[in-house]
Amino acid sequence: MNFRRSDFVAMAGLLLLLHALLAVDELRGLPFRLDHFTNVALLFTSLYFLYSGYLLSHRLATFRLALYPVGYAALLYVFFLRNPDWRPLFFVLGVVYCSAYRLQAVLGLFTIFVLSHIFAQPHPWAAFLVLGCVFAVAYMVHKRAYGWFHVTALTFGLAIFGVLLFPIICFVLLDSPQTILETFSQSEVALAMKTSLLSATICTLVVLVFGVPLAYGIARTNFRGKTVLETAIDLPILIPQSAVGVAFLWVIGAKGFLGGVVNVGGTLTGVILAQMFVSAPFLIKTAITSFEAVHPHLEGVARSLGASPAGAFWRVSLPLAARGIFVGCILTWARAISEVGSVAILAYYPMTAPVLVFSRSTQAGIEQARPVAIVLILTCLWIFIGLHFIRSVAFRRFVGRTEQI
Amino acid sequence: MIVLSNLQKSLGSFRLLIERLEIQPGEYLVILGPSGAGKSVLLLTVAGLIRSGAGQLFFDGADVTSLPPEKRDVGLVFQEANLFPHLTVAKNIAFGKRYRRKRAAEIQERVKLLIDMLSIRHLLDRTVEGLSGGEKQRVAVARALSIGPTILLLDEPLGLLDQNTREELRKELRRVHDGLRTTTLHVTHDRNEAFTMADRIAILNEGRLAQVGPREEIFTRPASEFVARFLGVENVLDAFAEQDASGRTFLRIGESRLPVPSQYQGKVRFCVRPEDVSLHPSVPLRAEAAASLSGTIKSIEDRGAVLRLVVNCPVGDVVVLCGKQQFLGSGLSCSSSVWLRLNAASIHVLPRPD
Repeated sequence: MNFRRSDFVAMAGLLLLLHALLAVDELRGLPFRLDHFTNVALLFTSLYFLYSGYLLSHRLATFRLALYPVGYAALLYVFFLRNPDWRPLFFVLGVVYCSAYRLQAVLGLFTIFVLSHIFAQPHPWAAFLVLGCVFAVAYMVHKRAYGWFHVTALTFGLAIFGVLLFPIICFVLLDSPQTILETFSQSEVALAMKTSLLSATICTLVVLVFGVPLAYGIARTNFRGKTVLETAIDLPILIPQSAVGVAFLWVIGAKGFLGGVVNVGGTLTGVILAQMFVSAPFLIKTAITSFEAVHPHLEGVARSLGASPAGAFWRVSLPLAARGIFVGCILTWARAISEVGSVAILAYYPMTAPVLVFSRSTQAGIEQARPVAIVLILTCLWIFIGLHFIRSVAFRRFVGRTEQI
Repeated sequence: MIVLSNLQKSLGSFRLLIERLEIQPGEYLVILGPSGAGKSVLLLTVAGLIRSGAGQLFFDGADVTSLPPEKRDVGLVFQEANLFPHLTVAKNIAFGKRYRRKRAAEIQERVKLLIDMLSIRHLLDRTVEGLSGGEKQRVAVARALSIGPTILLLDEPLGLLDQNTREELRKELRRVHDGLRTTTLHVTHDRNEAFTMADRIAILNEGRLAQVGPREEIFTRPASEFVARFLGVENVLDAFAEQDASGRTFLRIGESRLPVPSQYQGKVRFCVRPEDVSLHPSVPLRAEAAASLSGTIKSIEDRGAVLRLVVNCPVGDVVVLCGKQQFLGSGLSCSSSVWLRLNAASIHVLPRPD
């Protein structure tokens, strides 16, 4: 079965109309009422469901395609309608379901998760971890795709990693969208988020401007001490953040020995500088790898056809490395926004969201810090997912760009 | 005319030194040599992608030694087609046009011609990813020739293709060359490729030219033992050359005395192709211009249509290629005694190494 683009647009339009109706307070007699934030979140989840279904319709057999909305409806019923407490969980589950429907193994894991959540209360996570591992081993052994040794290694690692992620997942999923919206409406929180997003974005752009030429130069040259330079680029990952903050403060802070000339302590510039220091390696490293993957012969051919060295860079190497560089940008942005230690020391104000979480947790207690932390995690997570989505849509992967015949 | 004069390049312990190489306008010159001989280095130096250490390079009389590749007007095709993966086939071919605004119309015409010659019109809107190896190389050749280069440089262009596609493309490349007469420098380690495509062949070994000449000359009169062996002449044997009163030279091979032209006297080495040696179960009839050698069959190797025999003779081991049917009919087998006959016309006396 093949849905056309117009079918998709029509269904999306219907969905929009439905949610618009749900948003109108005066309409009575509806089976349930939703606050605006939940309404919008549900709309986006359902739109994603439609979009995935539209893409799936080109790949799946009719029978499996028909089961796709059935599963979604079941999720909607169990996690959204029957248990309003589980609504935050629904949005994540819905997206995962739509993304993973094509992959049998992930869909299996997904089903186990849902079932353990329904039947294994009050310890659904523990049940999922155990059952999921058993399923993974059984599935892979059944498919005979890999030997038991590789499967066991994978499962063992995954189980421990799952325990590590556990607090974050619980933390995020157990608050309703409404609380999040309320937290966001506090001016202190909104301001901190704004500072964080702004500084991380500027930081990424600045790193992009000097990181790409640096990476290109390193990828295209070979000189003595290149290894030393590459190690130096890694250095910021190694140095403790508080030490970075102190070092910056000592040099270009208010009382630093260059303080009379440049003073960035307590300014947005200070925040950005501290973020740049810790996040730049991520972009530079990925960009080096991406440029190295572009075969020099491609540039050679471009040169022979008349392109100058700069022309070959703009028209050949950069477009081919763009995807990798964009991934580097995402990583850099993520690292920049998550930085606390050096930022708090160099520029406590203007306060970024992570610093706000830190200060509230030490001064006002965990309960005050929690909503801000959740808002921060969710915002970053969704921007992260969004950026990766942009990457997969806007940047083509060039299979074997050092292409062999 | 392209002239390489005293061109030098050192890379680590490897050293390339071309004392003089001239490529005539419209000529198809193949550089043939074993891997590691410096063929690609030579090609990249002509392209300008490697800066030469010393020496000079002239394109039509103009010194281009210090020009960057974009000012040289060379067409370049590598073993991997190196098409730009982010562009369609049409945009790949049109890449050079952007940098030649004044000649845009001329290039447009040329591209049309090339598309027809290489029959790639149906590929124009495709992305590079889905093309087969042969299609990729066709597009790469079209792209290289689109700018109307002074010289077309081909670096093992058929090296990664399967046998059938390779032979097809050989013909096609040669046809394109015969149509456009673009001066071409083609690098390969495949001697069959060299012999089917070249006007002239240059043999490169360890960074030096071992011999340059028309393909017939290279084939029949290799200039050294290296060239002879590299071109598949497996028999390089010892003989004694002497001159009679009238000034004719004779070659004493075993007990036979053959009239063979030779510049040298005394101990010499000569070569003869395995396919030019004939095998006889008994003493062949005496002939004026042929030497007979007796020996025993040492080994037999089945090569499909022919058998490769190694015959142990007093002058050394001689390799013979022999038709399978003929050999089986003669009732010979391993360690049988046989006679070999060498024609004077197929014997080439090798120059002495200096």
